Amino acid sequence: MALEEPTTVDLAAGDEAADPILVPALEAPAGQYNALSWKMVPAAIGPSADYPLLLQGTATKDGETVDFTLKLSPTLGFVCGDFVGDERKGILAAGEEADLEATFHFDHLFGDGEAPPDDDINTGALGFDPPAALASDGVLEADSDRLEADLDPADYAKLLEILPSLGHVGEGHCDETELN
Amino acid sequence: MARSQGQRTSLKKHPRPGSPWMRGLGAVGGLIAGVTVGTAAAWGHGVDIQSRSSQVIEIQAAYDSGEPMATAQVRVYAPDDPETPRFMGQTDEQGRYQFAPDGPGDWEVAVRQAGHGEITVIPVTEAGAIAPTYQADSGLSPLQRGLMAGAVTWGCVGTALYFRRSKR
Repeated sequence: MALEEPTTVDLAAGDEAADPILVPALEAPAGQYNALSWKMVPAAIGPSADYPLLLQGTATKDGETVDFTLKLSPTLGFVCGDFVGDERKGILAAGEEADLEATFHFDHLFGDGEAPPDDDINTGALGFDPPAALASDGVLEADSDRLEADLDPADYAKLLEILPSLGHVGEGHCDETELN
Repeated sequence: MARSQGQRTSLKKHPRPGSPWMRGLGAVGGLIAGVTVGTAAAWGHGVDIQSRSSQVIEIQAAYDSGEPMATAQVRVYAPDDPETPRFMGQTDEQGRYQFAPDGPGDWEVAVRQAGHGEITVIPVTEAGAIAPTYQADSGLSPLQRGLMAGAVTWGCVGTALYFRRSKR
């Protein structure tokens, strides 16, 4: 099963407790759908036009606040196996409905304020400080070209290393096929 | 009213970060043959102890770093019911877990710990062993074919299953 046209999705829709965002619903034969792959390509229109991934939000740390908009250029592709989580997904009985789910682990990029600073989730993340150092008057707007030019080379390399780890199926890791 | 047959795809932000995210997962499985369950019968109080031999499949789960997934949650799904675990338990300190499949087919084993997890498929023969001639199914993703190719290789030498992710 495959989608015919690219779809732009607002992953920030709703709050932290919002249900997963439904992309399409397709007719499909009954069976067990135990693999999912997708490719993130530049959007044709909208706020993220020309970029596969736009990240927009407000970051706060130790009283400092940065309103940021990051437009990232790398095309990403993910190949994944079964969804891993509290329930199984992709098992479609005749006449019924089933879900497949792609999960993005953005904590890999930003870190986790609820985890200890020395936790891998924070030590491995790009975190707050490197992007915040590029902000002016609390505002950061940057595309990949600017990030490559203005971030410390080690931080930019870390960013490129993190992007392939964003795609998951629940808790299950995926293989990234475009950057790796 | 009949419901339309469909398949939905959804996208989700990571709801709750787990601990070490940079670590991938790996698993090693082994086949231990001829485990005996029970011995002789007793008398006097209606006790009847049956004995049989069964094939036991052992999986071993580890992160890419080599660190075992100790005390990780394990769920094993039989080929005839992929939604209801046939066996549940947890790995030992070395990331190992054993189960005795009671029928042939593709058994699925899910191992999860702290926001990381993996599901792998173990093909089991009529004799209860991991299928030594198992071939990757062309209908599966390259990743899954990789996992199953590993099952073939290691099944031939008796350790049966191996897969590893390389996220870092």
